[in-house]
Amino acid sequence: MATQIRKKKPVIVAESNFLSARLMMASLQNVGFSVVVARNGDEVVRLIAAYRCELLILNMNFGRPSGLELLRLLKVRQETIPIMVITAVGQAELKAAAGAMGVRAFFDLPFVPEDLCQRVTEIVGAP
Amino acid sequence: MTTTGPRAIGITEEALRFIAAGVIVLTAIVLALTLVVIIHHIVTDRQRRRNRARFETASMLLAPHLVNNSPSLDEAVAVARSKAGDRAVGLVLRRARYDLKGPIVDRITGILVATGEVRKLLGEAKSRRDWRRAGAVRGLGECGGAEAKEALISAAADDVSSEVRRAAREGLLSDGSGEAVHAAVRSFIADLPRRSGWRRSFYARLAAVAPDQLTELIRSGELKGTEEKLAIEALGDAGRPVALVLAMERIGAPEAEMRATAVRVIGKVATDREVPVVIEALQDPEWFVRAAAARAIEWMATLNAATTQHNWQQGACEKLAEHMTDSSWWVRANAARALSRCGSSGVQLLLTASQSSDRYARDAAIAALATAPLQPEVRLQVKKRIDELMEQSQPAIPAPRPKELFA
Repeated sequence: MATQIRKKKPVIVAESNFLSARLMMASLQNVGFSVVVARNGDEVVRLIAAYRCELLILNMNFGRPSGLELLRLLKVRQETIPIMVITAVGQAELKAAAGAMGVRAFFDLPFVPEDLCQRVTEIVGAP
Repeated sequence: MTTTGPRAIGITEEALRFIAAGVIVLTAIVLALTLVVIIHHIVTDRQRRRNRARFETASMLLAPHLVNNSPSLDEAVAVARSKAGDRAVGLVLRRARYDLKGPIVDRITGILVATGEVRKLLGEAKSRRDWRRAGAVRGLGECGGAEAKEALISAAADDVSSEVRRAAREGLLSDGSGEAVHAAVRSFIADLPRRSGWRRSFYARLAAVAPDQLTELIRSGELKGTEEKLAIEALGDAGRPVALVLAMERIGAPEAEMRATAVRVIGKVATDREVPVVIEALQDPEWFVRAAAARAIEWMATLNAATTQHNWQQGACEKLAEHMTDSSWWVRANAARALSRCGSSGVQLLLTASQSSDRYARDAAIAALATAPLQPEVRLQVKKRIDELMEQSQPAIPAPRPKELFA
């Protein structure tokens, strides 16, 4: 499901919950980011291949495949896209596992929209 | 002349007719039931699709207003209710309350009260059916507000169903106010859930919402044995600094499981200062404490990668390398994984271990290298070593090829 793709700073939101994806998308679009939403693993891989996306925002509770499995898949495919992982509070082991896969940016749920935009801007620069 | 057929075994024509009629009736019943199941499936599937479409419509209409906490949110809710229905709007608002934080949360609660969602759930919470009450109580927890809190406190304390009490406690923790948390903790202590997963989940939520109350509970001594360990681990998982204090107090505990818990917690929240304590735990007489220490070093190297200089890694690497020949395979495997996260010196030690004549150390090293983030040239080296080992492990007598089998 792709929405309003511009050439500048597109960001992929990999989130299986429709509302959560919409909330993140609306937050980022407010400050000028283009956002594409992927709701399954295939879409993530396809969108990374199709667009020069600057960031993948991945919810670790992604469903099938799980966030960790998806990270593993991206590693096997040697994808170089920066990844920001979203976890719920108290998922330290999951964070460590994601960290071991090379992820350096983490973000906790629930979130304040402004904080999400700020974190994304820190990683990819202003839109 | 010999008689053949049913008569030969003494079955009369009447009995035969009776059996045939029975078979026909049974077949008809099976066909009718199959038809009912198929129709039911079609209807429910259609209903599910319709509900999903409504949820998505409501989400699209409300999401932009929710993230902006826009003044026109009330109007947007009215439009969404007319287009997607009350149920979908209620679900969207409750889910948004879970995903977002800040002033919007109270506003959503106000809307849920005003639209009658809370009243509807309060009615359902009086149902005689346990599953319906549990669902309603869960919903009330997602709505928040004074009325919902009152109902949740009452359900957590008095409901006859343990599932409803558990749902009420979850709702109370979502509320997060002092009174709600206190009621949830009292209900939990009075009625410890049977499954450790449920208890772990409660501690995790409590650690996220009210770490001070959880710390107080641990210090009061009300939680004993496994409960104390689960609670401290939950504080560690939530990254609470107080977990470090509690873990450091218990690192020398006589009970080995408590020492292992303390080491694990330190691994999750420690700064470079606590590294010597974890390295020392690698010498513990109990294998699972040593394994926990090796895992803790792995976490410290991974979780703190962005913020620390890792001056400690060289010293840790040497100690971990010693444990590549530990008597426990678990310690060996964890030590190898930890080494793979400790930069180039760790990887170098693993490459050396992969050439070792000690098969256990060699296999642990290769398994860790296979999953480690490596430079391309190191990856090639590892691949070459794996190929060598695969060649060596070829059976002395090769399996016969299919052609030889059928010659």
